[in-house]
Order: sequence, then C-alpha cells, then structure tokens
Amino acid sequence: MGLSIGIKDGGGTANHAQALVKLLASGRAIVNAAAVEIGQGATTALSRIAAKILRLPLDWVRYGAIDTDHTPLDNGTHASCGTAVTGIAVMHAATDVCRQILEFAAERLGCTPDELLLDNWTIRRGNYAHPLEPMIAGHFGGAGFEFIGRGMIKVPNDPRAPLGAQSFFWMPSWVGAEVEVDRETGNVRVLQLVVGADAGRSVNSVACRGQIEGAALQALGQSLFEELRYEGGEPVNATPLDYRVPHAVDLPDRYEVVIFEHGGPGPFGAKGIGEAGMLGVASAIANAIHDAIGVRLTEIPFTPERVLAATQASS
Amino acid sequence: MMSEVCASVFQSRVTPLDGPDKITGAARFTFDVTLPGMLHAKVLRSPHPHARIVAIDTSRAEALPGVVAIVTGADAIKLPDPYYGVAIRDQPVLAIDKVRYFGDMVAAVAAVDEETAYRALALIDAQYDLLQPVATIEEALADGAPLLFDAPVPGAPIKLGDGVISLKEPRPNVLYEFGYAKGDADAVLTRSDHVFEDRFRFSRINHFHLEPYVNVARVTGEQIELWSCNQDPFVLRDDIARIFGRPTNNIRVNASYVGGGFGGKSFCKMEPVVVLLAMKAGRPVRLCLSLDEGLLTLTKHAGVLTLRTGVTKDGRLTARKSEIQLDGGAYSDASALTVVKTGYRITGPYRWDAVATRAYAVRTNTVPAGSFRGFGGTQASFASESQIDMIARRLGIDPYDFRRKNLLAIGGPFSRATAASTATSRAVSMRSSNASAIGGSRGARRKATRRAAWGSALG
Repeated sequence: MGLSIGIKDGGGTANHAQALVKLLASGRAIVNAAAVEIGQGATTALSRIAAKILRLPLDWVRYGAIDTDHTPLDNGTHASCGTAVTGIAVMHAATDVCRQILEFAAERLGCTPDELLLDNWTIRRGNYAHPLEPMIAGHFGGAGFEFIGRGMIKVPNDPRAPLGAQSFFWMPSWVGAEVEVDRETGNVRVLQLVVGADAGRSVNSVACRGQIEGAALQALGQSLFEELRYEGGEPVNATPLDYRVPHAVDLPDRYEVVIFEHGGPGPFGAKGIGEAGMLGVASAIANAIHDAIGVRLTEIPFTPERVLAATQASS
Repeated sequence: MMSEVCASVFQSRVTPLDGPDKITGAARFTFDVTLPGMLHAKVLRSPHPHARIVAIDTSRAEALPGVVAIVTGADAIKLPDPYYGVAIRDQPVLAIDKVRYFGDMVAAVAAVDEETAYRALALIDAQYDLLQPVATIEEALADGAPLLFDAPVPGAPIKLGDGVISLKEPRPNVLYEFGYAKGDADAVLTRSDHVFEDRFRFSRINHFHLEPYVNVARVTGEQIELWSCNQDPFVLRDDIARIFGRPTNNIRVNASYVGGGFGGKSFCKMEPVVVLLAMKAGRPVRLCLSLDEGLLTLTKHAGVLTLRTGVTKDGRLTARKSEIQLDGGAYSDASALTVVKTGYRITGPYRWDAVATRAYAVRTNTVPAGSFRGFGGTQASFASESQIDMIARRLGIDPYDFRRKNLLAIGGPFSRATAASTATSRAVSMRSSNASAIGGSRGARRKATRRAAWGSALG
C-alpha cells in the first residue's frame, strides 16, 4: 500500500475572464464565454451556473458558439480554470442581466425592483405573477428585445507573492494505491487505486468524477508503461501503433474516486478539479511498490525491467 | 474559502447539454469544418534531430498537378515576426536555418486533396548538413555541448513577484531559470538531524488526444479567419496578429468542440503555417495532422529532480533545497511557465523553516514540451511525495503519520488566502494574545498578510 498527496495552485496565476449572458424575449438564454468545450463539461457547468441564477430550466440555456469577434475574452482553457474563473464571470453576467430585467419590470409595474422576484421567466410580486414575454412584446414590439448582462473576474496581482499573485484556489488530491509485484517478472499490477479530490462544491458531480477518473488513468499509464522513448535524437515509438496508452484492461481491479466538497472561491463554492487526478498517482504507486517488496523506484515508468533491476541492485 | 463542509446547491444529476449530439455523432468538431474552395495541407518534417538546412528545392513538387502552394522557411523569414512561444519566442513558423528535432516542420504543401499533398511532399528535395544532436538533459548541459541556438532569441523572462529569480537563456542550452528562497536553507539543513538527498527521473509522454490537431484558415483581404482546435482562441488570435503584422481586430478565431486537448492544444503551434499557406494560395486551407504527427508536436516535460531535505530526529521537516531540470525539447512553447510552476510546487503541502529552489528548462533536440494536465505539478508531486515516503521509512515513522505531522494546517480568516498563507496566519494568530481561532488581532492579520506572500511559495 502506498499513499500520496498531490497539490497544485489552480485557476492560473492572476487570471481573468469575461462573459456575457444574453436573455432573449422568450426567456431562452445564451451564455457567451470562451472556455472551450474540450470534453471537460464547460458547456454544462457554465450553463448550469447561469440557469441557477436566472431561475430557468437548464435546457433553456445554450452555451454560445465561440469566436473571438463576438465572444468575450478568456485567457484560455487550461489550469482547471473553466468552472472557477470563467464561471465567476458567467455568474456576474447572469446576475447583471437579472438586475436589468427586474429594473425593466419594476418600471412597467410602477414599483421598485426589490419588490420583485424573477422565477421561470415570470415576474412575481407578492401573490401576483406577470409573465415577461408579453411584457417585453408590449413595450418593445418589433423583434422584441435581448437583455445582455456582462461579467468579469480579475484575480488580483500581488507582487509580494512569488508568482505575482496569490493562488486563486488550491487543488489537492489524495491517492492510495495497492499493488502486487511479481518478483520473477518484475510486473506491477495495481489492485486498488483510490483517488480523492476537492471540487469545492461540485457544479456537476458526474463530470467531476469523470475528470478525476480520466486524469488518474492518464497518470496510471505514465506510471507503469506509457512513455515516448528516444534512442539518441530519434523517437522509437512515435506512432499510435507503438505508443502504448492505458486500455480498459489496465484499469485497477478496484478503482474508486472520492469527491470532497470543502468549498472554494468559484461560483456557489466551486473549485477547478480537472488536473487534480494526475498529481499523486505515480508517487502512490512507487510508495506501494516499496511497501510491497522493499525496493524504491525513482524513475517512471515502473516497467518490469526497472523493477527487476532495482530488486537485483538491492539484494 | 475554507468554509464549513456542506452540500453543493447542484444536487441533481443532469444530462450534459453537449451529450446527446456527441452520442449520436451530430456534434461538429473543427475536424468537420469545410469551406468552399478549401485546399488540404501536409507538412514535410525533418528526418534529422539536428541539422543545418542547406537547400530546399520545391520545383518538382510545384509542378505536380493539383498542388496550389508550397511554403518553406524562405516564406516564414519574410513574415513581420516569424517566431512564437510563451514569453520566450524561439520557434519559427517553419524551420528557417536549422532543424532542431526529428519532426521539425520544414515545408508545407496545399493541394486539392490530401493525397496530392502527400505526393508533393515526396517530391520536395531538402538538403541538410548534419549536426551533432543533444538528446538528453545531461548531454545538453555537458561542457562543449552542441548549441541548439547560436544567439539569444526574442522574448523576455516571465514577470514574477518580488525576490524571485526569472532568467531567460542564462546558460548555453538553458532556455529559462526560475529560483526562489525563503529563509536560509543551507543553514537550516546544517542544523538538521538528518539530511536526505534523492534524485528522481520523470518520463516524457504525449497528450494523445483522439481529435488530431486540425485547423482551417481563410484570408480575405486584410482579414484572417481560423477555425481551430486550439484550447486558447484569444491567445492564438494575438499570436497570429503579431506574426502576420495585422491589427488584432482583423483576426477572427472560431472554436468548436475540441476532441480532447489535455494541454496539447494550448498556445500557438502549427496554426501560422496554415494561415501562411492560405495567404499564398489565395484559398482556404485545412491542415489536419495525423496522430503520428501529434506525437511529434508536443510532449509533457521529462525531467530530473534532485531534492535535499532536512528533518529533525523526531520527524519534523526543516528545509528543502531542490534542483529541477525539465527537458523542454527543441523549442520554448510553455516550458518557462511550466518550470516556474514545478519549482513553485516542489515543496508540497508541508511546513518548512526554509526552502530554496532552482528550476531550469533545458533545450534538447527532442519534441518540444509544453502544457500537460498538471502543468509541472505531476513532476513535482512525484519527486516530493516519493521522497516524503522514503524519509518516513528511513526514520521508521509511518508514512501517514509523518505526513500528518508536517502538513500545513487548513483554516483561517482570509477568504482568498492560499492554504499556505492561512496556515501562516493561524500560526501568527496563535502567537498574538487573545487571538481568536479564525481572526486574530488586526495587527496579526496585517503581519499574516505580509507573510502570506512568502507563505504562498509553499504551495
């Protein structure tokens, strides 16, 4: 058995992002932000944040196409910043558009915005409900109107910090590995892998789990066999046929992901989680190998050749 | 930030909004983009790890029916700024005078279809003068090692906080150096009951995203449009504007669904080649790399990490001196930033009296290394957490207890403080009289804020 703790600063350094939320007369919304959907779930997470604030069904929200002529600026889809950093910009944009709608409705209804509540594209004032669609059509006519909310975030610079800014959030992970080592062949088999990470408060728990599972499996491959190898200046396995990545058969017999929710600076307490699963896997496996056979491997991947060589060197 | 544990407001499971389209195959990726009159491009790559380019003859390829445009370093050199890279810009749009790794981009062809473009590549005659390659960090740093670059390259060191060392090209074959220190690590190590030095080697892997690198470029008058699989459309927009000398508002980058990136699609790579071809051809151009070429485009940093760690006989960590060498490969890409982050994270989530870190990106004649999920954090965690475990076992302490004893404390009043600085603030609070567990006196808070700058280095 081996343990490991991974930690990295998350969200980028002194990062910033901008977002727009467009609310159409029909109550359908478009979120415009430049966190690219790379399979991590930015589309759903950012739409869900907007839907929550606008009190709309999730399927009334669409994540807009990204082009740099129209989409507000984002520093890029990396550093696990989509939910926590871009998400804050989306949250502010949704809050801004909400305020505009309440002001518009207050003017129509001859009251103050704080008497009103937006819910399911209806304005509620005490016991009365005023659907917004006819209210907008009645006032604007024509093609109706779009309310456009703006939001941004800038993580403050701090020249006293080594990186020039305080870490926006910390991305810890905890790994436990149980291995079986074949002393004759040097083969390492991971029987059990448990990976924990802190989502702050998850915006989409299934996606969080997927992120940790995927990252940890990527790290498992690098720990045991995956490597782009060179002989001199020439790569020897730089084709998909020869380059070995983890397959389904490489999954540990027992593979468990634990999501903690300890709060974070993102929307509704969220944190980024996309990289966390990568961090501690290699060391947990090295530590488990040491625990199993009393031999320390200090070079990844822990191939059978290296395990045998290390065993022979120590005996 | 460290509020009480409670449930997320998002309790229910939802169908991902992009799920149904992806499951049914209806989702459109950049791979699917086609434009009227679009040509297809292929790239000629260096078969040598290190060589001077003597001559490139494209005449036979140009004569092949269906070939519309060919570009080489001779076209790249005429660009307003033909180099890219994060902070340090040493990678030419196409190899200009030298090739620096097996797979370096030498020429590109735009033709009516991919088959014709491939045929044209075979007709390009590139002559090289072979140079001695440096394949590893050790070879690159050896006395008299061949140099990848003969002169300083464009760019500037990364701007960091006070008291941190950030140097561009400090030594031959060293792209970048990062350093920081808190306290006097040498003095603390001398006073420590035990000092352990261990060295760790980290391997090179590829991102292996299943959607290949794919870009479509269209140039219309002054406007340049890109449909790109890049993870960072705005960063790419600015690079394209700088390289081609166009106002930024004339560059439009479109992003679709990306079929996996893991950092491999961060920052500028082959996109300028596609724009250059579209410009020369006067037609839209699509370049879709093969997975083989993906393996020759970017990797995660291999590295050698040497940690010297002090500990008292009862198992309290005292100081850590780290020397980190990451293999940046042939070109800068995001190596400087990765080195900063590896160096920053090498001390792990523990308390120290003093730390001193030096981290380098070393140039070798291998595939450039750059962003990869974890961004230096996996290299740091592997070395640090292996050594923590080794020290515990050497001292006969349970590795779990050893970690618990040395972990940074969590909790504290600073809503956006780092874990390290909240731990610092708590320590300061407890020292001041009548300090509450979460607040402390105003003076203590101010002191803690001042110390937070250093404290955060412990992340």
